[in-house]
Amino acid sequence: MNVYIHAPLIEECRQGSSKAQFRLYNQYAKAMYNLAYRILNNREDAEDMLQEAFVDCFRNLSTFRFESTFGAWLKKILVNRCINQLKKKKIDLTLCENLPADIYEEDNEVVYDTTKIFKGIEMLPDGYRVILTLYLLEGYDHSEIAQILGISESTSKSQYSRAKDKLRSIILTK
Amino acid sequence: MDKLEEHIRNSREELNRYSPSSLVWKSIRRKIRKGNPPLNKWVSIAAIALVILGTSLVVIRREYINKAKGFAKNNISNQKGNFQLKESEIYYYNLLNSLYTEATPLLTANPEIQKELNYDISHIDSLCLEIKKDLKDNVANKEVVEALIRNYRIKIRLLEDILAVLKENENNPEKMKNYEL
Repeated sequence: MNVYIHAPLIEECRQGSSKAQFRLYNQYAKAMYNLAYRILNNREDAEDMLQEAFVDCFRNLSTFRFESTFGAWLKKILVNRCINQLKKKKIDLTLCENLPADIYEEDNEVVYDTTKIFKGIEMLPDGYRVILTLYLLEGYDHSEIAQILGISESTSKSQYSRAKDKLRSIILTK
Repeated sequence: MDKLEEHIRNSREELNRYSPSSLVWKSIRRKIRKGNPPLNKWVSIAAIALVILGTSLVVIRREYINKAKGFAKNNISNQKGNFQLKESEIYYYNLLNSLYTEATPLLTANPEIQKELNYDISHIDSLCLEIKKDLKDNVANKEVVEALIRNYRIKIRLLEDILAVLKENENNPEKMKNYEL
């Protein structure tokens, strides 16, 4: 992993170049916006969080030391902001513990449809959706998710398993 | 990894279906400008301050040098003027002295002429004193020096004229009445 990706662009941003900032924004805006949307399940809130994350990012760019990629740094800022937003709304991310697991045996013949998956993710309960997003789509491992959400690693694992079963049930029953 | 996980991971890009509105970037720009002036702005401010400071220093230095040069020039000019004036004073003083010495025995014989001469000389001397007062204020003033020298010349011409009359009178006492001052 090349942590110095976009290094010249980042340097220009540090100098205050708005053109460079716009180019960097364009590189990451769409992916980050969809990540925020999948966590918050609300497009307006996602736009607000995207905006705040980029403002944070540009203001604190001098503290970025290329210890990770810029994308990973930005994603961390955005995810933390989104989780805080969910907590502000008093959304309990561990609520799903009490939900009965939907266990569907996977049929080898089944062909998944991306649109159905997209809709299925939108329909997941908040806790399931957040963990499924972070683990399956954003590549965080369970220890990282446990740290971000303030839950145990085993809870993260079990929640993920339930989230996946729930998603499968939604897709197959629709 | 089961089929569902594999499918989701492979179609990750397709799941990014939405794009943020253009208003997001505008808000970001506005907030960055408002809350945290970019480095360029500070660099510009610092550059402007440096230019102003630099220009001021150059102007102040130039004025200082000009003043110093002017002072030195004036000083040299004053010294030159002083020297020329003193030289002239010595020359005219010596000339007047020799004329007066020559005229003294003749004047002693003609006290009325001597009285008239002394009156005229003292009048010229008082004019010289006035001119010398001006010289204190501006010793290098060419016009003042010239006026002073002109007075010395008047005194000399006066003495020369009187001396010539007295000498002629000594040879021909009858003509004396025609040259009374």
